[in-house]
Amino acid sequence: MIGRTARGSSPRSPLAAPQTEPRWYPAARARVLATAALLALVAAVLTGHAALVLLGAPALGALALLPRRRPAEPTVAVTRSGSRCFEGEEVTVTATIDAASPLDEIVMELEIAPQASLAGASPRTQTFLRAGRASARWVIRPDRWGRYSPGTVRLTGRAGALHTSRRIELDPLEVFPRPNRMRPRWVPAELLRRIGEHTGRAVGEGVEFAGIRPYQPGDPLRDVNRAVSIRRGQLHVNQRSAARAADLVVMIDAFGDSGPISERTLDLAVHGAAALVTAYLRVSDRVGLVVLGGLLRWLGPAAGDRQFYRVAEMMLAARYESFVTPDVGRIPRTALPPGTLVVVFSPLLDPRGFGAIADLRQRGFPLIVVDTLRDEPPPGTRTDARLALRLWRLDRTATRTRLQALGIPVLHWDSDTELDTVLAPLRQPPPGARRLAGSRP
Amino acid sequence: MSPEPSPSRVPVMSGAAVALGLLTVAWPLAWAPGWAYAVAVLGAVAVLAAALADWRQGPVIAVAAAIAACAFSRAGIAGLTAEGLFILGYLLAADAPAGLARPGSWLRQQAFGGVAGLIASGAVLAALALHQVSSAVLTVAGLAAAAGAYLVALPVVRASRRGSDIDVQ
Repeated sequence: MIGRTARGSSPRSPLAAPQTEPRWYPAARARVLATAALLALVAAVLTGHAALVLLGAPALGALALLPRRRPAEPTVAVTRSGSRCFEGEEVTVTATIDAASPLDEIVMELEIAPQASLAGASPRTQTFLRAGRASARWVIRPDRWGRYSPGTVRLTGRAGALHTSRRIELDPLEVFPRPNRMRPRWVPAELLRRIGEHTGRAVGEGVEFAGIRPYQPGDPLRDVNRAVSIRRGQLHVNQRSAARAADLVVMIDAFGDSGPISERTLDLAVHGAAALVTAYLRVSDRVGLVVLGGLLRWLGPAAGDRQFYRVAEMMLAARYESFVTPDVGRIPRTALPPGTLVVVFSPLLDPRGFGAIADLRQRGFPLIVVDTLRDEPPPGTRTDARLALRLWRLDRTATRTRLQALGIPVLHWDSDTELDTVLAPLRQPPPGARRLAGSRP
Repeated sequence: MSPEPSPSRVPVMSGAAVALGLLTVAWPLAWAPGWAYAVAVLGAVAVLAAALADWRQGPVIAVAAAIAACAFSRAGIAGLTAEGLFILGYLLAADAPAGLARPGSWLRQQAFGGVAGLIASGAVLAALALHQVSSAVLTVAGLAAAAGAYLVALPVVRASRRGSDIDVQ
């Protein structure tokens, strides 16, 4: 359980000196009542009109009635139902305040981060009257992947003329991108010597028909092809392709300045990578991740659900601004095994990303590039602005052409299109890759 | 303890605070000179700003405008008594916590303050009914006592700007 109590030391500064300032301070009600009474008294004195005291007398009476005894320090606890979730999933936040003596008013308010929204019927602000122990519950829905605090809980308590307030920022939540369903359409030409679900070129114990050969002692009788055996007058058996696993490495080009366009391209890349990783892991393939962006970070291919979470955690830290040019040659063979199919999500804006892609291709990796840029510069009204836009488009076309000349297919990911649809029209596989049997464009 | 139900789209107490605030700044105008209308407009703006924009100084400004208008008006004892009760009601309503959709229980809590205000008004009315002796010494002493009481009652406490002490359980 992730909980916070208002007693003790801060986790950010565990060695900080104990807080000596009082936590209770005059409530706003006491201040305005006293100020109104004082204003009336001053007006009475200055004008010499004693009846003006009547303006402040009720406020003074109410102020005198407010208790001034300092209550004991309340205990505050904020808990969450989980520390990680997928986009759109609901997380419950519970705030509890426990006071030794009942407080006149307890107000609990949740200030939600812009990446999240409030779900359920619970109001953002919840008020309790004359309560010693109160608990508020909110259901929040993180709308965007990332590692961020989903909000801040503000707790306010009033006891007579005194008032206390706490502001507790929730611990960061790991929100994983929600992967869309898709099929693993492409596999490298050379599959692993590991049992999987793809039809390999080698003969083995799979289910796909691979050929016919004469019977040899030891062959199971259920493999005998009766039609061919009768026609040739000699026993023949069917051969089947081996079912093998594949290696896939997803590469995210995270170069670029921070800004809305860069965020959108990265958002698209992360969602595409999540969909690919999920699709290949589902069929027992091994999947890895390489993030190009400043420091080169990679995760070697592995299989299983655990690998998905490792990949997702690395994607959460994909944005890392740097001027360093990555050296893909530094990626070890364990992270990028030879012959691995590499799918690159890139906006093709930064020359460092282009260089890394070309370098990988020259090292013989089968590559597919998915262009994640959906924005264009504003066209403008002036002639030179329109000319600049045309030059920009020409430059983009030249970049794509150069990649295609290297044998790298470049697919553009349009709006309102799923990645499965983007990859479907790729009729000609990239060198070193092949289309999976049964997946027709 | 269950929380207050979810607030309605138009908070009840916010509307009540606006109504009481406007009544507070408009009440003295019946006896006030012409220039007091400008002060009342200022007070009305403060009332609206406090209710709509959550301007914390709004109620004090509005009350100051009302007291200024009363100070130069020819309002009688009854008018001033009513104005004092309006001021109290407005200040209490403006301090209502957010999220109160059914303010019945909260209003019952404030009834004690209202009764105390009535008693205080009665006490002042009784004092005013007695023979009044004006004295500069008494005036200065009273003013000093009021200022002292204000400072004693509301010590300047620096609100903690640091975050609360927090432990991770």
